[in-house]
Amino acid sequence: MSNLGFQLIELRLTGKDVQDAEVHFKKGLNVVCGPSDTGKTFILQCINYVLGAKNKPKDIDEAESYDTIILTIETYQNNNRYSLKRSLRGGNIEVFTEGDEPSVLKPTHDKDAEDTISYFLLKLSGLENRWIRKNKDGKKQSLSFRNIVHLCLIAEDQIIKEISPVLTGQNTSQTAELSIFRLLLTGVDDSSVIDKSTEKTSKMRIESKNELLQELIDKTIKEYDNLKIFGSYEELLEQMTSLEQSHGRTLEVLDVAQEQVAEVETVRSTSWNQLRQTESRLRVLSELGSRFSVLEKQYVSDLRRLEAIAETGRRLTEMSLNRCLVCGASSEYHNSEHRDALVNPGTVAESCVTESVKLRSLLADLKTTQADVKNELDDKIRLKQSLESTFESARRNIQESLKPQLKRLLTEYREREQKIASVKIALELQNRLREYKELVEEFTKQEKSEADASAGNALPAKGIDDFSLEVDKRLSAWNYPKAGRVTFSELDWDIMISGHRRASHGKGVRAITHSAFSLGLLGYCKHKGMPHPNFLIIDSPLVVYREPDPNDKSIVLDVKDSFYIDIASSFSDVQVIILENEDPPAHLVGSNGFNLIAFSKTSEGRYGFIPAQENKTA
Amino acid sequence: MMEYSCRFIAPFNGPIEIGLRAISILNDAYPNGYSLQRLIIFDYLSVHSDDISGGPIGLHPKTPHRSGELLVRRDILQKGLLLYMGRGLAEQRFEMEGVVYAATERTGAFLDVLETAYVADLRQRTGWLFDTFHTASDKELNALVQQNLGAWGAEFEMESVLWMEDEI
Repeated sequence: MSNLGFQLIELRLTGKDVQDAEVHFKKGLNVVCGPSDTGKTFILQCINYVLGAKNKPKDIDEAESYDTIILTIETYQNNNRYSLKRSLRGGNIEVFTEGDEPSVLKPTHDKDAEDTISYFLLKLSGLENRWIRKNKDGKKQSLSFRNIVHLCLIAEDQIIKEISPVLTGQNTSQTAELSIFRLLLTGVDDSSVIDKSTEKTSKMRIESKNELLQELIDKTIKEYDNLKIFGSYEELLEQMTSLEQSHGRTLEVLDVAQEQVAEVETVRSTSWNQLRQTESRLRVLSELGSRFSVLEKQYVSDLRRLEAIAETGRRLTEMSLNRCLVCGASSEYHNSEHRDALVNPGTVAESCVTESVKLRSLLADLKTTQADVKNELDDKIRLKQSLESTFESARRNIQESLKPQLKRLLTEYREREQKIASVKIALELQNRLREYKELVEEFTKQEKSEADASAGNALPAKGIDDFSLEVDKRLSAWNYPKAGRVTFSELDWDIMISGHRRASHGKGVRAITHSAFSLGLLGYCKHKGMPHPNFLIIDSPLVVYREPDPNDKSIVLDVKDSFYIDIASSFSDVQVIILENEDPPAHLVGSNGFNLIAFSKTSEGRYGFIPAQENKTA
Repeated sequence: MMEYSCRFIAPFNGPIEIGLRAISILNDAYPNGYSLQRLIIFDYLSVHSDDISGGPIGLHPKTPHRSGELLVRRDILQKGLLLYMGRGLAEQRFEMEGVVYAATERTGAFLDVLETAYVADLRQRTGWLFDTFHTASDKELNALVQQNLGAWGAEFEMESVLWMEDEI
């Protein structure tokens, strides 16, 4: 049995120069009955207003002179009494308690403040500092007393609504209202719910990350297939190592081969150059040789001629000279001028001899030079031959063995290089693929854990079941015609009776079943020890039952009676206030646990909530 | 006399040598006479008989640009003829065709006295000359020479190689 919550003791209206309007309540069942316009609804509105409602009570003429509402409440636990005072014009609520200073409470709930009427009342009910989720993403709001008022104060327009009693009809607060219901059923609020509104974007990011990852994975697999390299990661590593080793060896061999080629190439080009030089020299020598040959012939010829001229000259000298052919004078008388015209053969003969000697010497020199040239020529020819063979063998070596070998080695080298590159890529791709897959796993895990966290949106099956049982108890106690047990529809967040949705019935049934729901909830909380303000005010649960409901054919009149009897007996340790037009069954009046406040709307008895005004004296 | 003996005059192709060749030629043609021009040409052919195909080996070696010899002989030849004419080994005649030179009856005996091999070879060649060209006219001979001036002595094309050697 929950000791939390409070009961209403007294509602009082005060004003200047007017008699207080007051009504007293007791524990258990209270019935305020009377015709319309006696202030029943006004009572409910005033209570609501003191408890922090935004809207002031309906402006009725009778209440014109009143300016203050005072509601006295008493906790079940310690019987602490508090008087809550609020001006009808608005403003804060003052709390008076015996022995303490009055404190001022703000009418609006503030999650960070404790000087609010909401906090005050929640604390008394055991529902302070609670958080409820208000949207699918887990955004939370601080529980305000106003959030649960609709479960304690049920106005006449509310009681006939088709929507679940849990809801107020405002769409924006639906999630919150469901959370409150859950809170009352389980006693557990939503403080631990993760606000995922900020995580909504991260969820999107996770999704797009997953998409991207999958694309990357697909791409990587395609690349890998294109490579056409097979083998496990370890096998590939081994392959890589052996490839690199043989690559290193090939490189060494390649270096040696290249050096070799360079060496032989040097020999080739050197011998080529020398060959060209030698050939050029040979040409020169050859030409010199033929020139010298000519010169030799010249000298030889000259020597013969000199010889002949000398002889001829001598012979001519021996012969007597006739007359000078120039002037005709005989030689004895000839003067030298004319002699100049002719050379003296004798002189010539002598100079020829001298000349021959010189010539012979020249010839001898020439012969020496010729011999030298010939020697050098022979040397150069031999040199040329040897150079030619050196050149040829070098050239052939390069052409036929060294170059092809080099080519082979280079090809081998390049092929292996490519192979190494491919294997490297393959290893890389495998690595990459593995990374991606790990990431996918991570994200999946993340998503799953988040999904798990958000699963707490549902209602606990046991709680629902027990709640439905409580509702069922009420309806059975009231002899409400139904078949089978009351069940709960999580679709509507409402009860199902005889397989039909509660809302499918007419107004009258809706009103009574709404009451069954609310009382069922109160009973549930009471039995389970769940926090609840533990009072309930219901406006007009039965009134519509007066006319036969076209939807329900057999209406048992003792439903009304059973209604009152049941509430009186089952809720005696909390408080239920019924506001009704009709009188309750007469035999109940005066019995224990039944507080009747009757408004007559006549001069007999109490007229209504607001007393008929008499002039107050002092 | 002193001035004269100090001046050295090359004996080659001088009056004695050229005159010698001239009287050898004239001796083979005796008693006919040859013009100076004809003698110039014959003189060239007597020492370069191998410039004519089928001719005997040349008396002198083939030298570059030897055909030039034909162009510079005239003066010396005249002097040579004078030398021998002074000893009665040649004579000058003035005939219808112009001035001709001819051998005398003493020319042959003079030549017989000379003993050198050169002279023997020379006489062989002049004999061949007479046999080959005596019947040719002066005009024909001129034409022959004209045609071959460029060819005789043009074998030495590689001479430039030597010059390049010098430069290097």
